[in-house]
Amino acid sequence: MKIKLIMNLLTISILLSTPLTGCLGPADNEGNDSSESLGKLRILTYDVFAISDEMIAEFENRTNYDVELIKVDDAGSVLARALQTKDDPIADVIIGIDNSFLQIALDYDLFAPYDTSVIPNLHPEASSSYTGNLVAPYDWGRVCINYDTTYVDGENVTVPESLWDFTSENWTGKVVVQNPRTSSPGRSFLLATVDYFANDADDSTDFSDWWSAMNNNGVIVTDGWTEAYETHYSGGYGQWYDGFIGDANAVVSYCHSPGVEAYFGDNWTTSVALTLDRSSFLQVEYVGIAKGTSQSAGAQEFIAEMLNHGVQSSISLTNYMYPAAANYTLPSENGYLYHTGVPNQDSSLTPAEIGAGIDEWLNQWDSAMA
Amino acid sequence: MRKVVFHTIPAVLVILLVIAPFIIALIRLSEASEVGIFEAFSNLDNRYQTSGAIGFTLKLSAISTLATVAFGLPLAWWMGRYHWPGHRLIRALLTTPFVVPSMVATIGFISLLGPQSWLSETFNLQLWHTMTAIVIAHTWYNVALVVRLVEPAIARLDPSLEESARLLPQGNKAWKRAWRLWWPVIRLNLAAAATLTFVFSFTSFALVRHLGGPGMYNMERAMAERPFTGIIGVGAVDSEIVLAFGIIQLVILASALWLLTEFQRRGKTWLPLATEKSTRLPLVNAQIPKLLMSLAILAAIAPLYFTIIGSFSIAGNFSTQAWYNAFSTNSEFTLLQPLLNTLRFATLTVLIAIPLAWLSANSVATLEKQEGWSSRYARVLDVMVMAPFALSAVMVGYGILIGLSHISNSLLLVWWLPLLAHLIIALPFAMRVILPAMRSLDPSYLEAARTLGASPFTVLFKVHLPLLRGPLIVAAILAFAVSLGEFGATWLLWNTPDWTTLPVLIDRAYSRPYDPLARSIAHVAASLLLITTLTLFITAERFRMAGQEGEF
Amino acid sequence: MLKVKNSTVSFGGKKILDAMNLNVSDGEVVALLGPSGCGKTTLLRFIAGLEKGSAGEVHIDGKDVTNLPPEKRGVGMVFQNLALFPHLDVAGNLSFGMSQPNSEKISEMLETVGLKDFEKRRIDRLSGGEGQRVALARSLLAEPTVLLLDEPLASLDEDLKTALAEDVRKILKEGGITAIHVTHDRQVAAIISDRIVEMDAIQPGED
Repeated sequence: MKIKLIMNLLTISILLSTPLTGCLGPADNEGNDSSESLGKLRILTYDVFAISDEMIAEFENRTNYDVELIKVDDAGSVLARALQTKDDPIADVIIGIDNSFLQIALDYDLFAPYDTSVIPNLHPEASSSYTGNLVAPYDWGRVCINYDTTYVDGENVTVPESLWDFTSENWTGKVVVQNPRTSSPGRSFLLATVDYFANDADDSTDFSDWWSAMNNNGVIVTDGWTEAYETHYSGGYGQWYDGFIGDANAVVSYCHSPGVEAYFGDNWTTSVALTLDRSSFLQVEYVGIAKGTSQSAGAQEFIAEMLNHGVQSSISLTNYMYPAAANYTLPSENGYLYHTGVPNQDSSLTPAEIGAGIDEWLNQWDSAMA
Repeated sequence: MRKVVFHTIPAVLVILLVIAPFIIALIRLSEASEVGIFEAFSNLDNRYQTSGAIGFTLKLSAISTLATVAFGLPLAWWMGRYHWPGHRLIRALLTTPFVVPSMVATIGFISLLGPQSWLSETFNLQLWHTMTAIVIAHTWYNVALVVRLVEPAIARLDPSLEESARLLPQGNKAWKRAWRLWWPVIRLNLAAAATLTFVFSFTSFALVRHLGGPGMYNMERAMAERPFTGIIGVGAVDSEIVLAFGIIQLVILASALWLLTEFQRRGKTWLPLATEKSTRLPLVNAQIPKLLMSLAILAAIAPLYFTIIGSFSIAGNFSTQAWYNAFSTNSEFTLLQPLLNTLRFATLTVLIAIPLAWLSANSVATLEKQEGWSSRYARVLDVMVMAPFALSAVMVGYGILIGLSHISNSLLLVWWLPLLAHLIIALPFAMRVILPAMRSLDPSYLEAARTLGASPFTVLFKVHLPLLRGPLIVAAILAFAVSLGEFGATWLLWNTPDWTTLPVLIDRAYSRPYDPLARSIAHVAASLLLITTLTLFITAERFRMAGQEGEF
Repeated sequence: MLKVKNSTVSFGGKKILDAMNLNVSDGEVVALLGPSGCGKTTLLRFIAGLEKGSAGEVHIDGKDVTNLPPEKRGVGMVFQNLALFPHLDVAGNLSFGMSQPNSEKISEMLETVGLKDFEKRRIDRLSGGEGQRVALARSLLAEPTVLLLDEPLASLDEDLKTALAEDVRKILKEGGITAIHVTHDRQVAAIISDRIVEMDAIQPGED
């Protein structure tokens, strides 16, 4: 009897130890048995929700590649993993590097050229930072401060006319931002402040003075966007969730976040994007072919997939970003488009300027916040 | 000659598994950081997250340790002193928290004292995102250690000692006996428990990350969230910080562990224990202990209760949707795959860690009795196997991530990469259970078997393994539980959905935007982990050998 | 017949046995008598192969067994603490030493040592004297060429000790077993053995 037990345990453990190669793998066997697989297509990405199981299954069926996702935590980790393995790439397609990281990726020669003829006409914003043939934009959006109009009522608290307003008593402990070292909206907003304070009237102060003042004014810094928006921001959907605190009435998010709120809230939201000139950062996210891949044809097809109708028409509701293709935009249903803020002027740092300055700016931010 | 090879195997494996990747990682980190190590130390002070992290880590660990002793000591005393109805059950309840995965505790405490929790709404207490919340959670965790380590010393002391003390002038009052008899008896065990508490609080990650909230960084957290660590060029600052904190952690943890072994070594020898198992008094007229004990039991299970309750609610309303989604194969939030991943890693951890711990323990126990360099080798091997105790989970993760990827990139994607981390972390736990048991085993059993004509193989399977069956099962369950709950290293290494374990899934579900179901799914995942761990823990209790209560 | 030649065993540079010699003829029961710490037990463990010597040889039945592992020497040993396996019952312990476990032989042996029907008894339920008998029976069932007894009676009270010593002698003699019995108890030595060797009297060179 004991032996039987041991045999059973062994069987179970062997079953458990057989690595289950992803639930995505077998999808291509269901449809066309006749066609041969073209091999594995490895995709390095983070939680880009536009890349859904259905989209991948559809892609595999059509092209006969076996897609293998290598998912890391966030955009920074995508770059980190790509850099770490650039001599012997672990992926064929790299998705999720944005224009704030782009220059580093270009400096380290991470991408191989793709055939630009596959991409449709783009929104001018999507091609504003980069027009070369190494990476293709698939979505974009503006990072800026959102505020809650139940707090900014126009009487006791008025709509900020300068970022300096957030260093006043009205906003003590009521602003939540993200750490630019761990969050890409955080990083984007840091870049916006660099440009904003470099171009304001006062030459004696720069962005680090503002961040010091914010630090002294009790700014809340979270690791990532979700914690900032969902837990701390009083004007967001977080109030319907467990764990909501709502201690902050302003948050660094996207200028279209109030639009998303309205979309889910029957055209109603108390959240508004603050669209001061140069206080927003136009973030563009890219997909590219990893240099050194042996699957460049497949990678090329995947780039086309990211820019085709299926992904581009739904990206505003999967990734909550603007589509890159000019034929699509944010939906107008429920006021998504209507509640989205559009600044007159975004901050204007080029990828090259960002690449040259970012290390120093991050260091300055670190010491301003220490 | 064959024996030399045999005893070398564990050392070689441990060097390959643990020490080599760690050293490669350290070298790589110092290459990637563009400043010298001393500048790295001094830079810590003027950076966000790192300034004050050392002080905060020490303060948090010290306060957690004090609180744990303050709450744990009375409980251990009452447990050891009185005979309670359902004694074993009470002990199991009080010591359960120790094996609860940190992510489960995190979920439990967020639902216990987070915003909109029963506690915060009833008493208007806002504890979330305060150090107090973390201290409470640490105390909840580690009181179990105090009870585990101190209770047996109290319960099993020869009663004639106290009886004779009563009759002597220096022991005729309770406080005199407390000072002159009980304190010396429990001192070393208590010190050992306190040291372990310090160590676990020192490397706390999941609790600090989720209960501490913004701006609250201990060293472990400040070094975990650094994606560019070890990458030359871009990762200078990240590498510098991880290197500096890694070294500080190593020094402090290694000293703490040295202290621990000292306490345990000295605590082992001189206590005269009663021959019969227990000398507990009947529980009469102990109203205050009864009341406080009941409260303690409630406190021990409250976070677990709320974890499970939370899985039946979505955005505040009762619903079984999360459970339904968790077990349906075509839902986006299916937990089947993560559950299978978790069990697979845990099973393999046991299958590899236990034989390895056995080999190591066998070499240590055999060689330490011999002369000259054999016993010196035994001591070195002992320290090597225990070394992962001095590495935090995040450091283990970086050791693998940076160290192994330096050997070959393709290693970054092999399916057993997280398993390696689990093994490294579980090995010392298994070793700490098996080695003492092996040391205390009378060698004449093995010798008698051989003089009866049994081959070494027969001796192993018919005598040695059966005699240590209890400790082996306890060690296996402990290794399984450690792997089940491992979060820091798995989180750091996470590369593909195939590696998503339940703790990682919980963390990810918590940072997923616009989805009320995600939180409830996190609760379901935590409940699954919890139920598995509890089942294992209760099973383990049955296999503890008499005299082994003082181990983990 | 057993021969120990010029054997030396040391621990930590200290010689416990120094060029020891000992001869035991077939069927002879020898008692090794001496104060504790004089190396009696070490000598037994050396003969059994449980300790390694720095010099010397052990011959059993004319064969040099010095380099054989304990299980291949044909030596049986009853330990001072008996070393009965707690995870097995009496029958399990007895069958451990048998190449082909055989329940008839076991009950026969149990009867010989005066423990009829003890097969299923748990080890921790045995009294001191019963334990001695089980340990002796276990060693005998392995049919050793030489049986080594390491003070197995030491922990018993006086009356029982004498009675059991007589039984042991009877069992050994009836089986014609070559045995060495280590003790510090002159009375027990006298009862059990054919010949008493005073341990500190063994000098280098004795033959």
